[in-house]
Amino acid sequence: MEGLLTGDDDAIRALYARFGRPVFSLGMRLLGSREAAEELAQDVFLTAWRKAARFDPARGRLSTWLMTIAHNLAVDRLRRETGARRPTLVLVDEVPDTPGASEEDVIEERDAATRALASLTEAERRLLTRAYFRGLTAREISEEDGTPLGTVKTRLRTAMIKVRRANEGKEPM
Amino acid sequence: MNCLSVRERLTEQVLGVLPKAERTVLDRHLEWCAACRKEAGELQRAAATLAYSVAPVEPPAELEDRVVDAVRSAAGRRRASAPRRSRVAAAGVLAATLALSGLGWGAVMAGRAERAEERARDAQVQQQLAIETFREEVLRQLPGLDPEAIVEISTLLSPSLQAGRGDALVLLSPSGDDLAFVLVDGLTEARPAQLPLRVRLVSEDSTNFLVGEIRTLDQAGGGGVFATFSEDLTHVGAVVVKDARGRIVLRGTLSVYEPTA
Repeated sequence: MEGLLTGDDDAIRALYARFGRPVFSLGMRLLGSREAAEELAQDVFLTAWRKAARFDPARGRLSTWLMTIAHNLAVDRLRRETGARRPTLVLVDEVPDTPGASEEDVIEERDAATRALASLTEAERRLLTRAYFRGLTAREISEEDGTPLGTVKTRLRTAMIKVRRANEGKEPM
Repeated sequence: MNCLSVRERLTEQVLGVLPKAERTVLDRHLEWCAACRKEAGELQRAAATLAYSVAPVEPPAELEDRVVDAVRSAAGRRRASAPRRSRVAAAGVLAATLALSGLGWGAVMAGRAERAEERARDAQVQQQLAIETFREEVLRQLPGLDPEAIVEISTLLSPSLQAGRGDALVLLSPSGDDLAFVLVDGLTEARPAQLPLRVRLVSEDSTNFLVGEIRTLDQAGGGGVFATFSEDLTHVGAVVVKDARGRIVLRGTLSVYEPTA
């Protein structure tokens, strides 16, 4: 991270080698165009550079920190561009294994994601998708579905607990 | 916000859909509450798992070079501006502070007191304009300052309901130094023996940061201090002005300034 702070080429390339592909994939699947996904990737690594001094490994893993940045930036953009057409979301367990080089920790993350998806009911999966990937607040989901706000919040919490439990004891250190 | 209400909001927080105002209050709680922070970290970890659940797409080969160029170029700009910034920082902030009256600092803070009155709406618009103008002025004076800096403001009042009030404005910069400006006014009853007044920012775990000392007051009982901080002031929640004997003269709670649409 020190190398990233100073804009060192090798440090940036090392970070990109680990996270370039998942960040770009997130951009493509959420925003729907190569141009938007490329812009997102640049913004994510620029933000990581700007915030590198505040990354604390004692508080969480680099992969969590970076993908949280990517997710936040993508959803911010989704919420700004409310009228734009959205691509159909394709999740990892809906496609055959895709060839392509991936770092080992990214493969582990993808396995963890597959386990997490498998732990959810179809309704929970749809609910999390709308909140996490479409940026809908609990209130917005509640209004769209005509479901009480408290119920939506409880269901979201239940689904997230399942995601968390699906990988308990399987976390790489 | 207590631990219970924080826990109720953590799921929405980690999913990225908690309204901004609640997010800021929640973040502040997490700064000092280790138990909630642990819970948030575990949930955040689970949420990040979801980010990996989209089907992978191979990025174009040239994207890597573009990313490297963008970061290298931004880092180069920061290096180039840093020495200049450190030289101009004191002068720049001072100029910005002196320009406050012209920029409507009074309007910035007057609006807070008048919210309950009929003129509340107008006052709020004036306050918003003044804060935006002030922020632009500070950004102009300090080229290295992060344009995405978050503004926090506070009205300072006397705990013993005596005369005098004050205003504080803190700029939280995501990438650089944070800044704090504190002005006091109407302390006409302060005796010379009470000076200097010491102005501190206090976090919820009682860590405090000295903004500066007000050694003299003008005829209207006014004065001010500012400071830049390399430390992160995100977890700072209050402003306290004490006299030379250590008695609290003014105090206030910082809250995030949210422009109305």
